[in-house]
Amino acid sequence: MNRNVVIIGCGMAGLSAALHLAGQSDCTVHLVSDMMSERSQSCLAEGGINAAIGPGDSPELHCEETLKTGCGLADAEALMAMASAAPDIIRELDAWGVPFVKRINHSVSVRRMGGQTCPRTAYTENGIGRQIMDVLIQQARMYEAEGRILRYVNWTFRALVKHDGCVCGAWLEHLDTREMQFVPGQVIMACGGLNGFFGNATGSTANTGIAAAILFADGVPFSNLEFIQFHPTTLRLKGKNLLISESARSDGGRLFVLRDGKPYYFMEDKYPELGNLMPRDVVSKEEYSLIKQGAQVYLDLRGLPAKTYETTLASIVSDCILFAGVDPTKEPIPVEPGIHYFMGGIQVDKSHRSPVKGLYAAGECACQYHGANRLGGNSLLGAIHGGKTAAEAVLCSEFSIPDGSSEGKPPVSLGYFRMESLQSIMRAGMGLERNKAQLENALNAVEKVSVPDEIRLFSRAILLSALNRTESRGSHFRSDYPDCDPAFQKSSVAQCCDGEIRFGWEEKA
Amino acid sequence: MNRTFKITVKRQNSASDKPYRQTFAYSGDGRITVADFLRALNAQERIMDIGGREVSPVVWECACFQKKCGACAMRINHHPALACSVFLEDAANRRGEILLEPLGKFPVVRDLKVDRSIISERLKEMCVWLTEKKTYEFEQSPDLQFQAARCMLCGICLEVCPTFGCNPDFAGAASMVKAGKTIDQNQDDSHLQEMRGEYRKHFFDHCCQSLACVKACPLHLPLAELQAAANRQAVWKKY
Repeated sequence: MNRNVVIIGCGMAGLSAALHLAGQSDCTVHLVSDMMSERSQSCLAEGGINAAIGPGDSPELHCEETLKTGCGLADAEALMAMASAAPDIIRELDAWGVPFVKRINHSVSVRRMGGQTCPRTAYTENGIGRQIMDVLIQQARMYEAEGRILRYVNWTFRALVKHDGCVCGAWLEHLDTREMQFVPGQVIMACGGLNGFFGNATGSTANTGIAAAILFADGVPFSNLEFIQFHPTTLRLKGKNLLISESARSDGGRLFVLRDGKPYYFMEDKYPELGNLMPRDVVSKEEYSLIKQGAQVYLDLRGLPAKTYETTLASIVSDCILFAGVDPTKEPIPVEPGIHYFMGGIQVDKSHRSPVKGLYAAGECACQYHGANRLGGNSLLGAIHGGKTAAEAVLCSEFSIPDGSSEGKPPVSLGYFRMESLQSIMRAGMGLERNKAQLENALNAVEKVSVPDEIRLFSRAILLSALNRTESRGSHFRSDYPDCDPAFQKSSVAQCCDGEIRFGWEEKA
Repeated sequence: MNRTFKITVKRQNSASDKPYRQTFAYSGDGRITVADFLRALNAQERIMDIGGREVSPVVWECACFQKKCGACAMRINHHPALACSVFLEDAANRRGEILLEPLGKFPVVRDLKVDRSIISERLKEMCVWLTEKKTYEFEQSPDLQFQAARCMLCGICLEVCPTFGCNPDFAGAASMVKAGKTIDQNQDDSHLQEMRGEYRKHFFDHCCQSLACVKACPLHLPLAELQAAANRQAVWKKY
């Protein structure tokens, strides 16, 4: 039996799923994306990919530290499966030709990133995301030549098609002609984060979040939408916040503010053990409290070994000079917390199945592994492992497309609309520090912007998720509820039923 | 210091429609990139040209705004470049004029958006994938392999190439870079020999060594070194 699978998104999670499906069975993969894989946000990833392959490390410790940083909200069983699979994933990528930095005996070298007590992050000279994507694209090409992966570039997701409550395909819309096309199969979402709802995220503007909004309006439950990671070192440019990778601090970069004209290294002073490499939520919050007092935070990369500037820090140095006119080898970089990653997303179980039969999700669009805050190096791992796991779940499913199903009439295009007004409302409501009044103002303002109903509804779901969590945990920081409340050690679930947003809680761990 | 820029965009509704030009005014210090200008232009509720006429949003491709995705390649005052890394003040002539045109070697989809799918198609024809890695000892240094993987397939090397587009078989530098890395890593099997044959057919037999690509590459990839290494592996090495 030939099985059709539709994958929405061709970044790291989508390609990982596609490779697994095309390689192991008589599957036809329909790989759908607005742009080619070379343009995807995965290609921007900097820090590295985590695996317990260093001395003294173990998958148990990897799991434990991820869970701790996620403030108890991640699924421990799913996490343990990912941590256990990680060393083999590194070996596979190595075999496909990723030029990892190696030890003298050709084994993959690891370095320390935030929140780790053991060096655990495999890396390339820099720009690990591009390096991994290059080999995934290369291996997918083989299946494309065989006709087992069919590419739909320049097509965007428009609607799920269900039969008796089971997903049996998707409607795609051509970006230029607006023509609609139906593609049959179970559907894996791998469409990335919600950058488009905020506008100045460090990632790609192509990650609009529109597919997520369409699914939400169609009744697909979403988990933990309130958890948005603010990366502590971003550089404000005219259009976006430019990421200065955590690897800069791994290489010896230090954060400071000026006090009485002298640098005060606040992270090292307050957290002597991990210092500048505390988890991102902690660093961002420390910065924010200083910024509120009027201070400018700087990242100091001066005085590091010259070789570092030419290798691991090369792209950071050249980006800062090109985009901001700041030479990090000579002057400190002014930084601020900026939106970087969405921990929440489509609710999935440990096999990456959504509650809707025949619908799966992996990568940043899924809510899995990271809980209330994500560790550096875990997103690429989560994307590759999640894509594989979702593909495996598709292969294990007994479900087949029923004969009597029909795609029905094509949906109507959402047409052209602008997100900018909505983005400024969402930024104001969902800042690093939130409170009831701020969130309610945003909820009112969202009612008045002119965007499609799906977009407005999903914006409300994000704001309401933050309003309902009346505590502070991980990246979710409520100034009116500054303490962590053990009663909230559970994941929020938002779902749209008959146009109304309903909330529930799911216990994990 | 604020000055006024006149930014003219070559527009076209489709490949078969007649192209036309529209000019927009921008006042500022010029420390804004062409990409940020286009984004801000399209963000306006009503987009006005320099004559005060309302016009439709300019179609163009972008994703990362930081020189990491290759989407925004276009001709800026006749020079192919990534719009995200060219500032208005650097691009403008003395009169503050900037002309934005789509890349010329690829079919226009609409306005500044072109269809670059031929690059991926060529890599498929050239069978650029790995069956199995041979050892850890490669002709290319790890650094060259790393540099080869950095190529974003933006198409700028093909835009400036005197051969690409004239010779229908020639796939250009982008394909050479990717094929070179894979040929170097692949074990000695029939697939390797197939890739070597395709490399000759689609690159080696036609490259006229103008090396225009070397100067144009927005990432300054070491294309001459990459080509020398790829030629050694694909053509000169005796098996």
